[in-house]
Amino acid sequence: MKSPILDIQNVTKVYHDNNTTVRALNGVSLTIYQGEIFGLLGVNGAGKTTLSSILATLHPVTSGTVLFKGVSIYDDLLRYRKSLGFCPQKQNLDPDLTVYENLLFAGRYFLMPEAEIKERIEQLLNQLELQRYRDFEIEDLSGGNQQRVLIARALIHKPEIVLLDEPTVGLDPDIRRKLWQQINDLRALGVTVILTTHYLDEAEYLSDRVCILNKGNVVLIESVKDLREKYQMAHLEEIFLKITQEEREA
Amino acid sequence: MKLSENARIFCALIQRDMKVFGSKFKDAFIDGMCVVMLQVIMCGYLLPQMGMKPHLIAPLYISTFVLMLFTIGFSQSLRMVFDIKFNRYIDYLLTLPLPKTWLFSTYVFSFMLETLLTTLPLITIGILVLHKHFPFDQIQWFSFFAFYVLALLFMSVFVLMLALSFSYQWYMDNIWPRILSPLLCIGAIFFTWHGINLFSPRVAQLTLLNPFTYIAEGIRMGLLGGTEYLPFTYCVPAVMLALVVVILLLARGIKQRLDPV
Repeated sequence: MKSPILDIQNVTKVYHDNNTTVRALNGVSLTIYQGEIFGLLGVNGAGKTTLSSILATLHPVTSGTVLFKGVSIYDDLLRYRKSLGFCPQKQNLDPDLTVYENLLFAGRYFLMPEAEIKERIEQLLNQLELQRYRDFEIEDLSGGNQQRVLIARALIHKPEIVLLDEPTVGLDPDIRRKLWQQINDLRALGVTVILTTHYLDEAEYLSDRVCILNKGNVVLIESVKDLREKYQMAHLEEIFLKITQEEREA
Repeated sequence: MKLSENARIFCALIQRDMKVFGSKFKDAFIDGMCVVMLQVIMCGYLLPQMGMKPHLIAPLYISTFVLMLFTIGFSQSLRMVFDIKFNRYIDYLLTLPLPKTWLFSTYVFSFMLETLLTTLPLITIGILVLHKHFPFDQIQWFSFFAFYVLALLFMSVFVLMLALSFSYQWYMDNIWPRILSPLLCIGAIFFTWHGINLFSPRVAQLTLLNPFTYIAEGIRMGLLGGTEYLPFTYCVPAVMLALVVVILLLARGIKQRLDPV
């Protein structure tokens, strides 16, 4: 049995904007285990990005907590952040630096020794097929390559958890496939991957377990295999549509 | 241990900022040179030709300091506004293993360094060109430099606060007419405080509400000395008080715009 790495306990997030109150997460509880690829699914506005931004420690919870290896992330925030690599939905690389410099400074921000940073950069550039783009400015890269640099930046300090928020949105099918393979490789390295996506084929291909969110609530958490058996359907997409329809009717 | 780690990440962030600044320094220097030369021509030659008394040349040229703080500060602030609206690089920085107070301090420190490195050589060139009007034996170098650092600190926090307090559209449409221009014009920047006090004590009192009055007057006191300008005993506490207010506004802006952990 794998041990829990993240335990999300009754997390609520409420936003206040222009006199309106939005309840983006409504008492979400779930456990993520070490080394798994955990898919977070849901229609637009389900709360996926809010949850991933909370796990990335971009925004605080309104109530509830998140435990990292049994300790609240808010009790030792910096330790948790050292264990985390985050790829946001929209690329936010440093536009003033080249690909190589983005990775070099990312390593420095995580206090890695200089020699180790350089070795790690070469490793990641090779692994993510970015060698020829090392001296490119970020704006000169295609969307797919920017996404790969983002993943390389998230992995530079060898985090235990990688949070990928919609990593393949807007990419060509062949580039998506390549990225899937690279995400799959992370599992082999024992990295825990939290994958937020609304591409159901992606979740099906990559995830060990999926969590479906709807209107800020957890609808279910199951392995794809168990879901197929339970619903007697071949594809996650059919299952997802059935579940979301049931939710709408309920 | 945590302190030393925070300090090392802080230094890495500053190193990054200085690398980027280095690559843009030439342009920043040329831009600044344009402002300084225009000010030298206007204060040193054109205005005296139109009847301005020579003893006002140096105090008026010192407005260049404030003008440059505004132009450089505005461009720093704009970079931040664009980042928050479009690139969101700040989100990456907010997930680094560094407390947010340290992170925002890196912005302030980088802004200060950038402004210092750009303004000091340029303004020195202007002072050398107008050397006849500057009493070099009366310059209080240490007081001037210490006060200038305080002014840079204030300006850096101020522009960061502006960037984090308003929406992108409001900032683009309204920041100059509603905030920056009044601060630049209703203060003892393009005139001395005593000069305006002789003309209209009410307006002079109004300018005392503007922190840039104290910044301009403090710099004049440091570089020109004498009794014609507001003394450091007024200027330093006033700028420090304004700094506290701006820090509180910045904290509110950070919470509202970024809602960080």
